[in-house]
Amino acid sequence: MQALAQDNLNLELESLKNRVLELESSLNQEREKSQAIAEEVEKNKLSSLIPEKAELKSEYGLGPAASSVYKVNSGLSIGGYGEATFRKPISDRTESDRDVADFLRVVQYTGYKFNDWLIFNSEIEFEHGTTGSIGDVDGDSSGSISVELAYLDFLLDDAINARVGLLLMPLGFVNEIHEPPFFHGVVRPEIERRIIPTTFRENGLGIFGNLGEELEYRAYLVNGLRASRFRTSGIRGGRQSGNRALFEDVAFTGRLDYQPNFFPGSTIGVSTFFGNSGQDDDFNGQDVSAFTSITDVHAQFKLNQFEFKALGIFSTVDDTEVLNVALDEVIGEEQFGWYVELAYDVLPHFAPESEHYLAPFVRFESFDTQSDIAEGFTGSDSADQDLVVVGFSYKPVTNVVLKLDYRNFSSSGDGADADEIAFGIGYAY
Amino acid sequence: MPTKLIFIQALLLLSVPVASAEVFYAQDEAMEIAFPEADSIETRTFVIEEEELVEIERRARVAIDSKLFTFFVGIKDNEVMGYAAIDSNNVRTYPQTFMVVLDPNGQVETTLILAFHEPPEYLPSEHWLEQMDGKDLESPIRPGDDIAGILGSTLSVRAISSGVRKILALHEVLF
Repeated sequence: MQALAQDNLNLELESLKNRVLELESSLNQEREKSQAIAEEVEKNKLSSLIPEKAELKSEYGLGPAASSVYKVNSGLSIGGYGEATFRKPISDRTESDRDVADFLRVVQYTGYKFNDWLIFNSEIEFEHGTTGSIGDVDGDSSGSISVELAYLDFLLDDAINARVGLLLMPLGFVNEIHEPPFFHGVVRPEIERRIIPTTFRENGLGIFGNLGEELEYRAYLVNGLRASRFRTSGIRGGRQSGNRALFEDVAFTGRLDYQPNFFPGSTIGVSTFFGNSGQDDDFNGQDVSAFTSITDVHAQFKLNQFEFKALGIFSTVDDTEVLNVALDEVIGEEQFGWYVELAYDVLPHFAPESEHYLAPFVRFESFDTQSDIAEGFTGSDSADQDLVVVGFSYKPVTNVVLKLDYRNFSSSGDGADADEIAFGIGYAY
Repeated sequence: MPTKLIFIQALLLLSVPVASAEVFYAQDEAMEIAFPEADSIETRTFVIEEEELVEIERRARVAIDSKLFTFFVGIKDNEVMGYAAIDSNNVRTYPQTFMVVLDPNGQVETTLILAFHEPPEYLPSEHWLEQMDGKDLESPIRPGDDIAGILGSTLSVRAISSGVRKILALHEVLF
């Protein structure tokens, strides 16, 4: 009888012991969980006080240095960037292809924050060192000074703000963010020069903002292009750039970017510009609308040390059969181009502690500025080309870059541009 | 946000008398200043118990508004180089964020303002902040006593003094 009671007691003791062990283990688990939560809360709290990392971040689609004015409490802000290039044509050279060192641009941003919601921002650009004549080197004999943007922002709400003045057309990657530390290659992607006529800016007004956390948009009404200055090489000459711009024809331009929270560092977006370009000019007695459109699709991904960029673009010009005769040019009825670019920061493999950045990159570009032309006209040999760019970008600090690359043009006809080696320096502050 | 720092530094370098400053240092820069030669920096987050809280408040002579607190511990050659804490308090209407670095004995090594949202004229100078160096809770750390005031910036002086006392007390009780 007593032995049985003792056995029962032992059993009960054993089960209690097990129960205590179980409780102890679940208590430890709970402790670990609450510690993890505490750490996460603290991390968030700290990040709300000061940013985690000191690096540049762009605001409302502008280049990081161009965003300076958005980051001050009030008053004056300055920023700027610049770039210089040395280009050495090495094959397919013609008479005019010579070695050239160019201080391509020195740019000053000046902004003024009048109060919390009213901001002025401007960019003044000095190109090619001087506006004095220096004799003919590469077709251009003198530099220029231009106001590249100058506008007032009315910051009303994160979702909808207003902007009026001389605006950058929100097309592609480089037209808005053209500070050299933020694109690969000494020379900007050809597509973003020949089909998007970077730096493409016009007078107008519009709205911009964020729709939720992941969507960013801009939508402007601006003066249309001026078709009487379109050329065989492209629509670049048709930009009015804020200089007494004819506003007989109005254009719409807009952009939508999706930056998913689940994949930080990635952007997928579209942008467009369309409107008539005739501007009531006379084309051999005819008044044409010369409707012009540019549409781009772009994507960008950054994952660890990998950077990937892709852009496809399609543009059209109507009434080219009239324009071609009146202007004695062969303007493409359609232009088409795309590029893909891959870069990889190798430095973490060699110097994990280093703050520097060294990324080899490769970019493949294909463009045709006359993918379709009006019947009865002959296209240019150099309109349709492919381009491979290989090189690297080295940044001792985030905002200073040294670049070296090789560009190889090829064309189905005889019209390939000269291949070249290029070295460049760039900075933004 | 981080552009602010670079931008403000550029402005300071150029000595342009402009815009009131906001964020001077990001987290990574603050850690670099706190432990420039550390092999590693450990994050120690504490959940403060009621008894500890009462004791911390008694020693710091300030109210503690959160039961969570984080210290960063700089480690070099497996030895503790020091402790750093980043905290925020209100100056007048707007907050400041500051960092206090303690040496292995728990005495103040450096005090640094990381972000300041009041007008810049209320910002204590680095030279003024050096008064905190070498302090522990043996000292009163009281403006007008062992801490010199700044004309017109009484509230800044008070805020940073109580901030330092709070971190010293947290360190004493929690470690």
